[in-house]
Amino acid sequence: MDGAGRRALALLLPLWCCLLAAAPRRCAGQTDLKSPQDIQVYVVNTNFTLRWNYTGNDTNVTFSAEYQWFGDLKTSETEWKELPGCQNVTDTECDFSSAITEYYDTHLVRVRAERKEDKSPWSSVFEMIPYFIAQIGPPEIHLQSVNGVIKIQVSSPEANQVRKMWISQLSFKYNLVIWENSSDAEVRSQSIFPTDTISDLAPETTYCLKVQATLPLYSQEGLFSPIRCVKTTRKVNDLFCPANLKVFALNMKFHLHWNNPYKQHVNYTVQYLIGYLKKLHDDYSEKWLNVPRCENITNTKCNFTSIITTTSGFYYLRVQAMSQYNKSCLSNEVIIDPLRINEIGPPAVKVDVSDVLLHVRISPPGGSENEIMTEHYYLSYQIMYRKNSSDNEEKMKVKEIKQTIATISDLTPSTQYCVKVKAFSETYNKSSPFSNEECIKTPEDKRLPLIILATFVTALIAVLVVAVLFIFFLYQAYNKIKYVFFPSCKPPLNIEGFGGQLFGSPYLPTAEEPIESCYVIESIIEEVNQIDFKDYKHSKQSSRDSGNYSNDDDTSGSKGSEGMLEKEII
Amino acid sequence: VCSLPRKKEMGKRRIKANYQNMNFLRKMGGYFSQECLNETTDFRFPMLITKVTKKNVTVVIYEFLQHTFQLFSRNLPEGTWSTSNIEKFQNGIHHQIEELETCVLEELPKARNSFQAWILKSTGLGVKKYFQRIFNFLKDKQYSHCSWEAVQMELISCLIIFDSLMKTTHYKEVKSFVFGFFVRIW
Repeated sequence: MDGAGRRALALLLPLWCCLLAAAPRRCAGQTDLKSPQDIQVYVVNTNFTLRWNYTGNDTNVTFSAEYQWFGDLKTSETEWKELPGCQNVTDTECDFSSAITEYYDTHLVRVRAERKEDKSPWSSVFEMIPYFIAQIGPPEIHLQSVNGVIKIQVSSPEANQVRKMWISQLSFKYNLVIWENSSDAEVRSQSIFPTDTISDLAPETTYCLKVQATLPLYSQEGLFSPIRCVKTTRKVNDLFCPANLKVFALNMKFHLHWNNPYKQHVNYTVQYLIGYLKKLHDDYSEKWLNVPRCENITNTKCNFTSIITTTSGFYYLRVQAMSQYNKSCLSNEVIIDPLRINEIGPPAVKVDVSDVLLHVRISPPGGSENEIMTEHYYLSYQIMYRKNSSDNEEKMKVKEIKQTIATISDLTPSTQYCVKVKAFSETYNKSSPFSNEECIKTPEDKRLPLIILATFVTALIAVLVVAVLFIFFLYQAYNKIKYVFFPSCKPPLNIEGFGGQLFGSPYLPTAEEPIESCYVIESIIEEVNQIDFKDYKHSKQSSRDSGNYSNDDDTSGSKGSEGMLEKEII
Repeated sequence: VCSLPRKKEMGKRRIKANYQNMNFLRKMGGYFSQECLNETTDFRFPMLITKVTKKNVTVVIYEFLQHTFQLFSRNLPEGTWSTSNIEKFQNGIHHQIEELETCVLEELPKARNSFQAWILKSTGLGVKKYFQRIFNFLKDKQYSHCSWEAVQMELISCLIIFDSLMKTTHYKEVKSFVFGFFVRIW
């Protein structure tokens, strides 16, 4: 640049400075305010806290935040709105609980620093679904120390709130952490119901405890309640308290047995509670009911089948003892899961035999009219059978079936078989003991003699048929031979009419005819017997009673037959 | 309790338990009178649940049952509804929840910190929103008899859908939801 240019620049420089000084500082991106960093949201129940870091110069700096909410309806207007509770705050955190109402929807949050008119660029956007980042708050606990135990009552974290993050309050499981208030004490942790009793404690000792609410599904663990310490009282040992409660259940018939170490005049009442009531936050102490026919009894057993109305459901039982001095004592509780605690009894079996088949009929445990067992346990049966021979004990063979009727085949005849059956449930991994063994003998094999007989009869028939045929053919052959070699004296057919009667009638005595005519006939016969046949003709004409012959007709015919007759006589 | 070889038998038990609960729920209700027809509303059941994979069915049903248990625990129309059936229903639901919990806790750690876990959580959200709608409906109607009848009908349909869902994943058959729709009309 030449001197003139430099001079111009020098003159203009102060002018620039003044212009710059006068002009507003908001030139494109030209601020010295840094934007907040590490933006984070902390949620406890429905309390939302926004936190961030600010590394720049923080004198007279305030912060403001904006948010967006994406509801179900995806509207095109995704505009940033001011976040209430986070406007012009001086701290690096703010509470914006009032702004959020939909805890299952996506929200976006951003914050920036401000100083008078200067505004920093927006921080990076924090995206969240409140439910996923929310923490379970601490529950409230209420303690009562009585008779050497601690009674505890837990209120759910959002018990009295109108707006809840955790709508399913009954899903909480409460975890108790308890330890003795001494150095080097063992810390014990157990799961408790909202209303529960902590036993197994040493009397006259101070214990400290804290409780947290948990949601088992995603292993969400809530914040612990503040630590509370309490001293246990002296334990008053009621000697007549029922102890050793045991449940015996067979084929869905339930019995409770207990004992009383000090046999005094004590009346017992067995009480039950429907399982789910313990899960509720309400007081269930009034909800214990007496088991029918187990009220004020003196023996230490109770049949409580009548109260088990649902097989899928828990029940609690306890025994209350009342002494003659009107003092009562409650036993420990026992929990019952009907289908798990119940044992399956043995089935009954009947066997039948026919030929080489063994028919097994099974009655389900609990009787054939009792359908409960089969219905709930999906019973299958295992049949074990063996040959009961005196010399060797053969191995048991097994057959598994789902019905109550089975047939065993492949048996040897004339042997005794013994059968026993057990029921089992794969669903509950339970099996019953074996039924009584039923033995039966298979009948003798009737088949072989029958086969022999049948074969014999068939052979006989065949032989007979062959023999008949053979005889028939022999007869036919004989006839043929006889005909060929020894012909019979049968007259030829063409003179049969003529000669038949002549030959037939002369051999028969014709006593009825007159003698004269006999004479005539005889002469004819004599003449016929001679070779001369011409006389025969004449004699025929002379006789009158042989009028049945006409001469005219016979001439031609008789000639032929004469010839034949001639031949035959010869 | 929830070991793999037993899965088929567990499935059978669950289907049976679900069926029993369905029956108690049906018997629980009172008389669905004509006037209640105007009170029904569409709760927009999250049909996405039906598309859930075999592994995640347990988790979904578990969440569903938790909310159902919560729903029927208070403000019921006593007097018109059968108390003994309510107790049986709740007891059955509670028992089923406890049974499912052991399985759910076994299956979930495998899906932690993964995409699958996120899908599960999203499906869970669908269930929660659905129940939020039901809760709000009841509150708005001040837990009236008709509103409870509408909710009861809705949940019977849900249990029927779950019955179908469990059997589909269990036996790998495709069953129709016609019956479910029929019940809705009823």
